[in-house]
Amino acid sequence: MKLNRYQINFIEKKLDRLNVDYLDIKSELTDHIACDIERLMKKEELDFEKASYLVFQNWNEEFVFSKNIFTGYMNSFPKIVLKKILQSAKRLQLFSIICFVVTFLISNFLNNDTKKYLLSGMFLVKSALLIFFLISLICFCILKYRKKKTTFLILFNQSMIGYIMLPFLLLFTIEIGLFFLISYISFMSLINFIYSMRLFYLHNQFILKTSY
Amino acid sequence: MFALQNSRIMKNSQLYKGSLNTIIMKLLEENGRMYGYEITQRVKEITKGELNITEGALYPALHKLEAEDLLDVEVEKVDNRLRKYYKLTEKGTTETVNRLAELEEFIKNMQTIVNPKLSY
Repeated sequence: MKLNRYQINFIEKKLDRLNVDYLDIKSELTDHIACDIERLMKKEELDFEKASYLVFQNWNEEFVFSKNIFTGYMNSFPKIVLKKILQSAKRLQLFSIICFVVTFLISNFLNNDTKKYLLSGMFLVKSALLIFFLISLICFCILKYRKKKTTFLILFNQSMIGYIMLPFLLLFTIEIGLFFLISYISFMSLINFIYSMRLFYLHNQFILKTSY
Repeated sequence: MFALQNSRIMKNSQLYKGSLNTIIMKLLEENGRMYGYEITQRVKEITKGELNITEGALYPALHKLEAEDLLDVEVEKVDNRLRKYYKLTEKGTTETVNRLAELEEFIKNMQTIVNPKLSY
């Protein structure tokens, strides 16, 4: 017995209430839960209400709100959503550590003359970072306007926090003593920009795939 | 109710957890493309109910493989809802061969250690 449109709508609404309203996860959970309900209705000859109650009970543990250091303790998400976000968030944290070590080694390796020479071209870095920020801001506004939620969007919004150090770079005079810090912020801003553009692409690609 | 409780019985061993990705990849290699629920049911069917992949383990594994570009996703509208099909990418197909060889080697070595008489 296949579920009708209203029964599918019931599952979707229930997932929304449980805060699993991110399209990429919600669509596959709706299908999984619907398949499980159909199986129970057929095998155990249960009605939809009873079968859906039992199936959702089985999923309870995955809907519990959880937090993690990688996504920030300010935000909590249903466990199944958090697991997906973490896979990507952990990768960015790893890049951040690698970037820190590489920048530290480079800044210790270079002599002061080379550092001065590199800092003289700082206006180019500043311009590039400003362009990155503006592109990200435009993407942010587009996503806000479209109002479609996916887990990629959560990560994209979080990546915008990465630009918090941008005013520091743009407004203050860059001195040689700050070479390591400036290089680290610049590299991280570049990584953050590439990461956020990938998320923007993945978000739009998924929306495109599901636009029926 | 009994059927649902019964389906919760699962092999929660670390040995199975470590092989979950390889199991998924092997199934996709055999079946072309599959959706989440289908994978859990297929595993249950093959192992005659001995092995039950829980949803909490299946989806993170699928999402991880997808993020690593080993799986590709196709979305279709089926029975009033969207269905997300997973299939192996070219990179995923090559990786499946490697992982299966690795798993076979592991089983062979374990066999030698656990039951030397039966080993070959």
